Formats: sequence, structure tokens, C-alpha cells
Amino acid sequence: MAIRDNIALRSLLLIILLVLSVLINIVALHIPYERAALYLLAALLYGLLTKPTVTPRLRIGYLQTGAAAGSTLAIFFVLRFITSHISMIIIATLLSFMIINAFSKALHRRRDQCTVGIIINAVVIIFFVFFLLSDSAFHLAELAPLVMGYGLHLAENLYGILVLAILVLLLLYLSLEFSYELSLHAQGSAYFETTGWSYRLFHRGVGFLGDLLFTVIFLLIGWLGGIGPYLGKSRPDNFKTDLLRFICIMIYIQILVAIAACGEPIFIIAIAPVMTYALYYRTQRRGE
Amino acid sequence: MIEIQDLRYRYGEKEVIKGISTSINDGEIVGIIGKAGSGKTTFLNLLSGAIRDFAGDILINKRPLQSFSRKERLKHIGHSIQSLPENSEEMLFTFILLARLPFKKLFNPFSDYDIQIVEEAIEAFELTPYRDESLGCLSDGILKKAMLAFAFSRRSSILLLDNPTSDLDIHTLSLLHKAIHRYVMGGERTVILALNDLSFIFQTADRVILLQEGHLEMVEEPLKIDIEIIREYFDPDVFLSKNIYNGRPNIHFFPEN
Repeated sequence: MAIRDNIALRSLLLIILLVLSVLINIVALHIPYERAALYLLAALLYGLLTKPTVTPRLRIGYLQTGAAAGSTLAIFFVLRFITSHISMIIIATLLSFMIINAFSKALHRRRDQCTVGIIINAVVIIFFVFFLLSDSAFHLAELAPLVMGYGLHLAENLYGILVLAILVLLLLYLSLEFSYELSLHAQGSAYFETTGWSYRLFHRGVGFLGDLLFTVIFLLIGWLGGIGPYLGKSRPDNFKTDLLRFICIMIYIQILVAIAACGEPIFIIAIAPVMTYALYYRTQRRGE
Repeated sequence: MIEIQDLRYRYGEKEVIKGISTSINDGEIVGIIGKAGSGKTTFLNLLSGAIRDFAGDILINKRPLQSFSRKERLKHIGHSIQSLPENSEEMLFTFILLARLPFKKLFNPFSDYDIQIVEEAIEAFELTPYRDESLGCLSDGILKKAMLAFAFSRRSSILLLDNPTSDLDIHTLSLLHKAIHRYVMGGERTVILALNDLSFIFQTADRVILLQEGHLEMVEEPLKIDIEIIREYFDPDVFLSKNIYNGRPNIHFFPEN
């Protein structure tokens, strides 16, 4: 049996790869273990949130929708011109995600969503280039914490890890407990309303919760995420494929963390879009 | 039992249902027929409670339909869904199981009874080979069968099927015919179908309600439908033959030459 058809063997190999990547990051590249743990938990949270049953209309990652670039710009504006208070950062990120995601979902077609995302990304890049040229006090390195996860340092203690672990467990519990309700919601209003519940209310509630959780994720892992919607879409949603997805996302993040540690964190702003766009075009070609 | 008294419904300026009065017994299969635009789908939507601003009365077991809570109504009345399921990643078995969600208690798993009903529906529509396939991998015909299995899995006391025969091959029509008869077998459940396939409805229904421009023209057993009725209300260029097993009418076109 080929490795690609043997899920157990693939899982084992990926787990070994994950352990190795975490060890390399902690031992060789001196990533603090709290940070490594937070990246793993954030990756798990991100993996849960991008499950097809939890967010069925999520067809492209936040780097492709332009939500990451929009949020980076919003955080940059708040930090530079308003305040560095975390509550304002959270509100700015949440609003960016809500606006861009609402616009993206309204487009329906994946290709259109991606085209709009490219335009948003281009506008944000042009803005930063313009800012870089016009303001000698501004250096691209200022964006590094935003790219690697702005809120990460806030949660870099036992308390933060505990809160995140509880959030992950809570989401895991809720996604399992309400998996059928979420599955029916994913089939559209005609099916969901056979339960007697309001589709509109549920849809908006799930949508807002999703935007809120994406805000938390973006603040924790920044541009290191964005691949969730491209993994495991072609297979039925079950525990084994979920496990593979989670491990793949964790490995991907560990690799990007290693690249940032070896070079400069700002490299991620170029590498992450390239990798996610490559995955986007691969799934697009396969018609997923 | 469903009792309908002087049912009227206006869509904008136009009255589309014009004073329908009739009754439908438990355990009955009733077919609604009529030309396109005669009000068949609107009539079904009124019976489902999806349209609430009507005049007249619809009584379900002597209780006005308007007095049912949304949840009660949806448990009593099942309405086939025309739109395709949106999440093609879902497995067929899970998709059909979702029809039982209104009957599942929160924080509890599906009961053995729910699973049994879904297994029966899968078997009835010969979907067993596809039970673990994702919906996106199914052909249109198989997906249509899955949607019918979803409707039948509700096990509501009144099942409304709107144009269920469209795009079905003859074998699936036969499966649907059997499933409808099995559904009402205990005498407690009712099936009401609205469709344009007159031959199927005459072979399947116990009684036929004929609508024309929102009026109820007749309520008749299929055996009593004759060629004059068909020619008057549908098309003058057809003829009827009788099913040699049950005497029910079948409709045919005249040959071109």
C-alpha cells in the first residue's frame, strides 16, 4: 500500500516530523518553549476553526482573502497613531476580519474572493512601500511582531498558555457537541430550518464567533496561518483526516518559525503568501 | 386528519388560491395535479405552514395550523427540499442522519431508533453502496435519491413532496412508489404529492386533487379519472390506457402520424 493511502503510516511519519521540528526550534534555534507550546496550541485552534464542518464557507485562507494584510494595516495604524492598548488592537483586528470576511463571503466564487484578496494585498503593499519611502523613521522590521503574531508576547506565560489551552479544549468540545448542528448549517438554510431554529441567527452567531476566533488566532500566529482551508478538503471530514490536518498545520508553522529564527521574521511576509498561494492554485487545479 | 376550509391566499394583487375546502385522512396518499401555474406548489407551501398570511382554516387533527409553534409544525409536517445540499464534503450517511436532528435531544447522541430509520431509508433507496461516500462524489441521480431519503427519514406525520419525480429514472420511480406506500402503511402518516407526472400520481395516490387557476376543480380516486377530464384540464391530444393489474389510468401521446 502506498504511503499516501495509508493514513496511520502518514500520521506516524508526520508526528515524527512535528516532534523533530519542535525540538529543532527549541534546542537548536532557541525558541522559548512557552512560545513553541503557544504556536502548537494556536495551530490546533486554527485547525479546528478551519474544519469544513465548522466553517463550511471558508474556501480560502486569510492571506488570500486579504484579511491578514488588512488587519496588519489596521494594527499598524492603531499602534502608530492611536494607542498600543491591546483592547484597541483586538477591536481593530476584529473589525478588519469582519469587514473583509463579510465582503469575501458575499462574492461566493473562490476565484473572485482571491482576486479581491490580491487587490487588498497589493493596496497594503503599496501603502507600506510608500510609507517606507516617505518616512525615514519607519523600518519594515517594525512589522515583524505583527507578522509573527502580535499578541504572542502577551500570552507568553503560564497564564496565557492555560487560557489558550482552555479555549482550544472548549472549542474542541463545542465543535464535537454541536457537530451535527454545524453540519446541517453547512447544508444551507433550507436544510437547517427543518430544525425550527433560525438559520439567519445561527449563521450570524457562528460567523461572529468565527471572526472573533480568527482575530485571536491572527494575533497569536499572524501570517504563519492561512493554510487551513487547503488541507484535507478533498476527503470526508473525520477524525483521521482532522488529525492529519492539525499535524500538517503545526509542522508548517514550525517550519516558518525556523525560517524566521534563521533569517529575519519579516521574510515571512514574502514566504507565507508564496506557500499559501501555491496551495491555493494546487487545490484550484484539482477543482476542490 | 387535515381539514381545509375556504382556504384563500393572495400574492400581491393576485389571488392564487381561491377558496379551497377539502379534507385529507390519515394514512392517505393524496396527489395534487394541475397545469403549470395552477397553484400546486403554493397549496403545498400553505399546508407546510411556510406561508402564514392566508385566509380560511387549515386544521391538523382539529387544531389550527397557526397555533402550532414553529418547532411543533416542523416535527409534524415534513416538506421535501428542492435545493441541493451545499456542503459536498459531507458523507451520505451523515447527511441523511441530519434529517433526524429535530428529534435529537441537545447534548445527547442520536438514538438507535434514529439510526435505524436512516438505515431503512438508505436501504429503501438502494444507497447502501454509497453510504460512506461524500456528497460531492455522487452522481446527480444518486444525490436526488439521497435527498428523498432525507425527506423520508423525517418520519413526520404529514410528508409533503413537491415534484419528487423530476430527474428520476424508472427504477428510482419504482423505489419512490414503494417508499411512499410503506410510509403510510401504519395508517398514521399521510403523504401529499404535487407533481406534473400524471401517470405516476395515478399509480401511486389514493385520491387526486385537481387544481385549476387556484380553484379546486375535483377530488377523485384515480380509478374514476377518465379521458374527458384529462382532455378538458390538460391536453386534448392524449389518450388513456388502464394498468392491467390495478385498472388505474396511464397517459399516452398519439403517434405523430
